[in-house]
Amino acid sequence: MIPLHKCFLQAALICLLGAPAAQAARLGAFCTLTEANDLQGTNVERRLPIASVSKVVTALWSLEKGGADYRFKTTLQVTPVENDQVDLHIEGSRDPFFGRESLHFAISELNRRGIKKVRTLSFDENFKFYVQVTSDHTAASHYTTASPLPQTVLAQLKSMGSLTSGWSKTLQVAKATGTPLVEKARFSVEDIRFVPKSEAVSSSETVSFVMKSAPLLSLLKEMNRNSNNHAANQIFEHFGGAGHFRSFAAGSLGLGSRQIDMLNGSGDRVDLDSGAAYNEASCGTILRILRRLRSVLKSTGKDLQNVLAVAGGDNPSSVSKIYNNDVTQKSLIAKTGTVNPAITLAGLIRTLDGDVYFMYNIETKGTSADWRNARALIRQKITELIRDHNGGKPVKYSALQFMSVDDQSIFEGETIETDDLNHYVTDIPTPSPRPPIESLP
Amino acid sequence: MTKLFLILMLGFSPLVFAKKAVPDLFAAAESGDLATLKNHKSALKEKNSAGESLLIKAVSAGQMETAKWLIRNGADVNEADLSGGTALLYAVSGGEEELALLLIEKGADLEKTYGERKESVVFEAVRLGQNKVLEKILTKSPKLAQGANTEGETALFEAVRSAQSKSAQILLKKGADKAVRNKKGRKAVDLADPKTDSALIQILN
Repeated sequence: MIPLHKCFLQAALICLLGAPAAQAARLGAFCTLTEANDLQGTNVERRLPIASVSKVVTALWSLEKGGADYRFKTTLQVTPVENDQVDLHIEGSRDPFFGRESLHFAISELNRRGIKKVRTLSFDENFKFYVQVTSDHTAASHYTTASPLPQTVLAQLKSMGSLTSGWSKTLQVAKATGTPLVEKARFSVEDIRFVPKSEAVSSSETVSFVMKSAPLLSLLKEMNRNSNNHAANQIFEHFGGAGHFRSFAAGSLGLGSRQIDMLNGSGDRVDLDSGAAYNEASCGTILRILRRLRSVLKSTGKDLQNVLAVAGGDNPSSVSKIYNNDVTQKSLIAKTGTVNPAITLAGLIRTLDGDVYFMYNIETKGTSADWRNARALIRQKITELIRDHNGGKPVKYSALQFMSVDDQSIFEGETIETDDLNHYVTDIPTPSPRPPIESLP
Repeated sequence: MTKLFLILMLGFSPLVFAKKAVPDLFAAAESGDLATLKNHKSALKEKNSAGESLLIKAVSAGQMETAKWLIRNGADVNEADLSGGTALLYAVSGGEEELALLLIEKGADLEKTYGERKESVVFEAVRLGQNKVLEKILTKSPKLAQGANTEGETALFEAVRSAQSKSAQILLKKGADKAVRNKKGRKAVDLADPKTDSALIQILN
């Protein structure tokens, strides 16, 4: 016998777009978890593709392993050569948001040390770079765990023409976030090439600088804002990849393969010999992970809105684009998901009856019509859920501007004591204070 | 000679009968893989089993640059899939505001209706609270603010159902009539929930 709520859901879907298309999108699983630990729903423990809800899992794992203040360290090795030039080798760390802004910051720091002319700029296989790393295009594109390959990184660097192109835009963001950056940069590069880590050479005159990313917490927030597949995969691989995650899930979370299987950090399709594969988890597992994530965040004085997007609060964001309305506005803190077999949404609703963790997983055949129907259904159901709990309780929240580096990213490392390079610029201005993070209720 | 012929056939047959692997252009459109699409320009008019064009696929996945390139290379912005959906409908339903505005600028049909209830894309824009798109559509085609579906409901009803008070304000500004009743005799305000829809009730009263 078909459960009553399934009859209703199917009837609603039929009304939405006509019978043939409507039948393809159907409820895979739905569950809620209250603060009183009441777990309810349909197919609560059925393992299904979770799409970008995977990024919630990536967020928890990286926070548990590295902590909210963890920073990715990129090493820049500078070797003086003739004609006032240096060779510069970048030893990467899979910094997930090393793009134009991080590159400009590095150039700024090098300029502060009198380094303006580079004979050869080389990078290794752990240096992952996209010029527009925060763009929707980068976010939505498809990657393998090895992406981007060195030839892609090389192409991206070369596509900039001058590596200081777009400086004024970076400067604007730096000023808005209190990140130190020289007003005007000078930086010429004769040659750019890939040099594997195993072949990188240094000399007795090589000086290393370490450049740190912005803290992990802000990177995770940006990752989840527009569901950045590249960033999620980098973070996941940096902390050990699928094998290490499996050990963490079993050891720290008590979760086996029946509950969760993560192939990558993003939830995007993985192409195996046997065909397309996706990260999978049960609805109940995701809610337990969400609750644990919140607990980890609260232990540092933060909350879910510091990592997940807030409907109507983070604009643009994938949550706001599809699920924002008068009822959900700032009462819905969630992560969206879109893959061919599933449209998903998971997170927290804040209501007058209390906070409720939820997840919807709608099975689809990957057609545009399916995706539309699935999202419409979730939108309808999440609005009803908040209404059923007497309405939303909006969180006090203002979005912070993201930058991939901050005032703590300035270079560590030795002072150069050679006449081959220009003297230091010592009058580094004091950065203006960062805007305060909104206090939590 | 026969042996030689057989040997030649065996040697050449893989070459003769082997098909060149055709990449999945729809996956390429979905993932923004322009390089693959550029290498298969002759196949850009293909549709998949759901009747989706490459443009629909790119738009659904929010791939702006791919969509722009497809349009520049002859993609029909008004082509519909088997369920009757168009690129514009999917841009709006996916919250892809820039894409929706682009398609409108490139001549997307604003008066086409969708689904059993024959609703214009205005209804979808209101459902999602895509207010910039809504303003653009109603500027180009003001009568759509009063267009009703087969239930006799205008987009104002959808604004209430979808809790989109800003969209309701835009519709009213563009001439929507709050006194319209649907086939069951109800006005838009009658659908509002007093507990959660106070803003809407105020606007509609």
